[in-house]
Amino acid sequence: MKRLLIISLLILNANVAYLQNLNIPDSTSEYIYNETYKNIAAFNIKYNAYSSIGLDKRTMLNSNRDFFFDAYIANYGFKFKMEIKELPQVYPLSEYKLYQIFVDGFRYVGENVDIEINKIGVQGFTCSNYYLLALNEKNGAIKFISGQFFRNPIANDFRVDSNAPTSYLTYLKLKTFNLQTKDLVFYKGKGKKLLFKAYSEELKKNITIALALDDLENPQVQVNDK
Amino acid sequence: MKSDFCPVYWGSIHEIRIGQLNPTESNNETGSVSSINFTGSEKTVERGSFTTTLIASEGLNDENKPSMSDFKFTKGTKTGERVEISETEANGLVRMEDNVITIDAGLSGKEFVKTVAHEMGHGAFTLLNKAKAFFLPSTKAKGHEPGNPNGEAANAAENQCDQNYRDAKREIKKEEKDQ
Repeated sequence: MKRLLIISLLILNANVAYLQNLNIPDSTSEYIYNETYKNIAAFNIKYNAYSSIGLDKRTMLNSNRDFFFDAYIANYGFKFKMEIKELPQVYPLSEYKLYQIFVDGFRYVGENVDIEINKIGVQGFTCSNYYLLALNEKNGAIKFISGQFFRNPIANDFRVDSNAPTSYLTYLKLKTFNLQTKDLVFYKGKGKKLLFKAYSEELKKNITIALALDDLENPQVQVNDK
Repeated sequence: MKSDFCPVYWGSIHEIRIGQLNPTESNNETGSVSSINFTGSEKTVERGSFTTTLIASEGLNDENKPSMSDFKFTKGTKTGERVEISETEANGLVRMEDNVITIDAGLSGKEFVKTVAHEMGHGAFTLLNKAKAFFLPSTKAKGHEPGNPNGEAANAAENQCDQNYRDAKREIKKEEKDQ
């Protein structure tokens, strides 16, 4: 009985250690990498793979070399290439810190070999180079804010007032982080929408952002320059 | 509606498909090439695509990235040093696999031919300039950023095709008139 208990404890201990290795990464950047990469991969598989496999939602595989099959998930021994940087800007909830992630397409870097893989021209993929998230370092909660991945609602974290349109500026700046907006100004009110103008460093174009007061999480961006 | 995949082996192009490039489902920040915003208020249609996998070895790097006109290739050595190498050597360190051109199923006639030529232009540039292609930026413009030689090669191929098409049509008309 004693022997059985010891064996059970050993197995339990081994499992806990294994789970710790999986779920508690060594560093903040590793944690951000894991969560962000899973999000980016899932988002692109859900939305972009569709255009790669054709009109029908077939489940039969044309080839294991199809882009939709292997463009979004890293091979064994490779990591999705991303640059993670903490930003000095403050998030309204003080327990959260902002992090920028830069992604230059679907590139994978070998962990133990000097090899880098670049998936060029992923079908249906309109690459977001810049991503933004906020991390609560105490409990690991992440708010995915801007970029080509699944995002979290964040409007309730901001003190905004529809009678004071400039109160939305900080919020909109974060929501349009993927477009690297600058010179963001309130332009005019139009029905239940507030219109803002800005310049997108990412697009190198002037843009108009329409913010519907009943749908704050989904600002509409219109490119002004053709 | 059924998509019609039609493999064609042509030079380095592994496969040409007639498929769908423009998702009908609304998706945030994805889909057509210029639905760059949150819900796609700007919509254009993507007519074709060229996809490939480039695999760089020996720690190949471009020290001048993200420049699109000035490249300085280096590779790693066993001693940990980095040494500058020629573009020819750099090209030799990049492998190109799974080259696929997809043409939107909705195209026909001249537009189809022009789109094939355009995508072949991307393919030819990438094949002949593998190292450059590896380090050119991957943005929403998909090779068509201002000054990107990959996009310029594709546009040139499309224009050449257009010119050839018009010349051929003129010749046919002339021949018909002469008969």
